[in-house]
Amino acid sequence: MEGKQQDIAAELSGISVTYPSGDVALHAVNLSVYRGECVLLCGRSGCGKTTITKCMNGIVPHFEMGTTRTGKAVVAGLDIDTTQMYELALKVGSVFQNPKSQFFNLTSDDEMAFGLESAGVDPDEIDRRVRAAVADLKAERLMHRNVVTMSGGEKQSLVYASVYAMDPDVFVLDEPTANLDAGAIEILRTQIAKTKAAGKTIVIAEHRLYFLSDIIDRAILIEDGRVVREFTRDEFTALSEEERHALGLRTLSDSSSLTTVISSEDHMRGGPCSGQRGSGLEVEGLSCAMMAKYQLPRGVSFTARHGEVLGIVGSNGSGKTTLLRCLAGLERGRKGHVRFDGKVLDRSASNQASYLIMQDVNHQLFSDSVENECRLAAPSASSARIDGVLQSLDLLHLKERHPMALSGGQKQRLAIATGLLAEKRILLFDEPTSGLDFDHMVGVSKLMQDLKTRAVAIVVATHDREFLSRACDRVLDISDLLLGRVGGGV
Amino acid sequence: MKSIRLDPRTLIILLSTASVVAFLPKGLGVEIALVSACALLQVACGYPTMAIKWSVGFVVLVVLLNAVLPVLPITVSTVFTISLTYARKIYLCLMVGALAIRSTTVHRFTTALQSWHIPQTFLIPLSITIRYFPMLKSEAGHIRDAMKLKEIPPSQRIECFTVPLIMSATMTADELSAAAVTRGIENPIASTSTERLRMHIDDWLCLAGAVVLCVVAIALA
Repeated sequence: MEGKQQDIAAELSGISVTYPSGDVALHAVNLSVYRGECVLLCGRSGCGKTTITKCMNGIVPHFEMGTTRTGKAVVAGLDIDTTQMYELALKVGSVFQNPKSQFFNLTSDDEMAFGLESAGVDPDEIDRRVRAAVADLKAERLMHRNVVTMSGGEKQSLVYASVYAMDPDVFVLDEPTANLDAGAIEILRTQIAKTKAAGKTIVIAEHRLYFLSDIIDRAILIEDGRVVREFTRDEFTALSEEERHALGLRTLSDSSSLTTVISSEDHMRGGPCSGQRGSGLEVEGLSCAMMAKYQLPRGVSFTARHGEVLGIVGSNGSGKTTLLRCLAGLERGRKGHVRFDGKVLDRSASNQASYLIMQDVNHQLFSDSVENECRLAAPSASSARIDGVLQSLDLLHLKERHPMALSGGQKQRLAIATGLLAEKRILLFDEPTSGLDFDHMVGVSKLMQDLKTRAVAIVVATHDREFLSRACDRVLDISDLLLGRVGGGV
Repeated sequence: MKSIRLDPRTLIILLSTASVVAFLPKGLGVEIALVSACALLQVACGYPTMAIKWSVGFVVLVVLLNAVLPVLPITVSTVFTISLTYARKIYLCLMVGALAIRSTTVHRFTTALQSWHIPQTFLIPLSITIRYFPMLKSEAGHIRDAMKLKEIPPSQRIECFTVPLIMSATMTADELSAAAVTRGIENPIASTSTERLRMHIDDWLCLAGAVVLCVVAIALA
């Protein structure tokens, strides 16, 4: 019995959490995590898995003051309620979703030392531990860098390494891949695997599951703030597609859903697609100053006909976002031809005709209510038309709401609504499913199918392969262009 | 020649000295001597381009003030005279400031302040503020782009720019603090630093030089 007790790294007993809004996030959750285990918390958005991580790293109740929590939480031998955050910090390491807002220094070396400096560790010891962490995680490429110029994936990798350097017993990871692409996820996967091999305990809340399938020991399914099922790794990976979808879970394998999508050159030339020549979006030899500066693919050619969704894929930093920005007329020094329904669009006409739904949609909602947001986009639109568009995007009942009070998916649909109201004919999406669970991802792909019928051209840059195989009719891989394999030329 | 790396404390003292000297009356000769000394220091620290830019800038400034503005119509010249004269007054501070920003990191800077026992309650907000500027810039860029995609009436532009910016700043502040407390930023124990700052002979020489120049400038004033 004594031995068993020692083996528990984290234990929640009868944990209930109520947010200041009165919403109950967790109902009497009991959960034990054993030393050296890697436990996945999964379930739909809002199911409470993030709240469980907050109960383990002390954010609840120490940081989110208005949140009430009952029950008992003991992590790494420390009673969360009676332990100061700075004492917990030495035993429990936390990595959060957003790579942009987790570092405090502008150079990577200083960042690696940050936690240990705060704990008053001797500088020589800090140097030694940082070096060991860098060697363990093969993070040499991150050292001596200016953090501002790092990609999101590199930043997240640095955050992980900085936490690792503090050598905590328990790692608590809250959707660490929400903003990462496939390459960065793979790096994070190796970091987590290394951590586990070092005998550390890992608790990870995630939507993306494929990269964890050979690391986790157990998966715990959370629904409406309750632990509803527990799987061993074998049980979890043996789930059929139907069972997985019924539970609202994302794919467990990286490649299976991809089979039909990517072939090569016929995409470039229009390929097997509906609609006729001269209709929809036609792009020939598109380049811009930014592409030249960062040696991204130049001279890009493709078509997106009415009634189809064109997916754009490419590895980290291959220029997907730049390509979309260039199409939207946001990039300087644009060369090449863009036509819509046969009409040539110069840069400012492209800007008029297209609408880019950004990855962080918060940047593009400006007004104080859903209705005013629509009026701002289309001052001359009739109320009936606004209602019609809102209705079609399932937003009509939220007309009086403040845009910032909407959920992520609702914000995204509102941005689309404003684009449609402003008579934008080319809709461009930058990573529309980042951080979405299975149901919401399916929702976005259905939305794409619906938008197809509205005589608009739709181009989607994404690294979400499961989404791609559901939503996109054709795919352009711009990494191929970079390697000179298809189309292009300068 | 190997370039010298000044201790941030030296730079802070130099900066304060420059701001005192700035408001002393001084002749053109002394001014040129001081600017040249600063330029030399920039070269010694390994920034020759910076030194050239600031030296040329000073010549242009003096020529504008002494030769160009006097011949311009009085209505035009008064507008520029005030701002350019002020720029000339604080020119030394700007030069040392530019050197400080380029040659030291926030981490070195806060370590220096720590060694002077400046309290954490002041240092933490300071370093987070400095760290937030690059992020603010990128957020502002995104929002400007989003505005370009909409035809926003001029009367509403400021509002449309600031609302999402404040929203994003609020969210970032929250996330940053959560990350900071889970890394133990509140630890009351005295923080250590991997910078291992030490005043070297170069630092003392610089400070001695600054004292000599100051005394001469005051004597000639």
